[in-house]
Amino acid sequence: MHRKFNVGVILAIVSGIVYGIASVAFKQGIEIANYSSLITDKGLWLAVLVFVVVWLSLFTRFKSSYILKIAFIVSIVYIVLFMIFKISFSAVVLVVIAFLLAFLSLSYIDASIAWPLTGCKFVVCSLIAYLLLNESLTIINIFGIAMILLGSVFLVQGAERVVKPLK
Amino acid sequence: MPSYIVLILVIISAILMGTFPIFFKQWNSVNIAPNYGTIGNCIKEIYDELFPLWTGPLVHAPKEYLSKEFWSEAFKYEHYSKIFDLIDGYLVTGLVTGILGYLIWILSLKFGEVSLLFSITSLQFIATGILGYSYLKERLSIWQVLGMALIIAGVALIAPQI
Repeated sequence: MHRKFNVGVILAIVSGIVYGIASVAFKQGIEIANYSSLITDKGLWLAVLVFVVVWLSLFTRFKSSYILKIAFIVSIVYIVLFMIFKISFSAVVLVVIAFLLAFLSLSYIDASIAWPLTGCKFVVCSLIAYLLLNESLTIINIFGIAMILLGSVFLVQGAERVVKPLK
Repeated sequence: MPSYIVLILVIISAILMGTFPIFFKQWNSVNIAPNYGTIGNCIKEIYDELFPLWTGPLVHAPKEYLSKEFWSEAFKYEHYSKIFDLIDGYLVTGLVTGILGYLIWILSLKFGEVSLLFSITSLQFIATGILGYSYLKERLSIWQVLGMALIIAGVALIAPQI
């Protein structure tokens, strides 16, 4: 049980680091991309519409419709391809890795522990943005990030390891 | 774009991002199979059901790919039903909230510094904590409440700089 907990913690922290790097990659991608063409992309809005329709259908008798499920998968694939080809390929790959690691960590520890542990992403992101993108890193920023990190540590420390049985 | 609209968009995206692990956790719990995790279960289904179906002719008789029988068999719903069953309400809700939250955040990156906008998304921990408490019946201790208050204070320090 203890070893499982450690594995979950390591997976969540590594996921946070990768996520932080991916965020800077997305910023670079969105700066290079043609923003007006991103916003006016009809396929993107159609995919978002499908998302919402499938989600709403969960509350109706169509919830097990496989046609809706196929439409849902197609819309996810479209959004991922949109991000890869129109924003940043490397950022999407890093995000997928980060999410897989975070998802794996959920198999070992609670969501309320795993998610705050990924908080190191804020430090990684701020440092890389400061070093590579010449973004400002003021005392107030550092203090704010430190408070967020401290808050994340409190969240982890206070979290119970055992989830009550799901009903 | 006015900075307060960017701030509102980032806060909405943070709440959505904080919601999705709760539903993924639920999906993971509900669809877990004996000896396999949920992702392992998905991979096993694909490997056992779909892999032989699509690679069978390649091994035995490649010409079968051109046959009517192969195509009618390849698109039979029964072969995919177990995979489709895994796409349940928890997974859909988790993906909708996660992907939409992430998309809103990426599109808002144009209007501010990534280090500031990314730090504000730490509000997702609060959404996760509150939902974990109310929906998954996870415990919420006084330390966690203090942690949430610290995160809000940290975000309040950073947010005016957008």
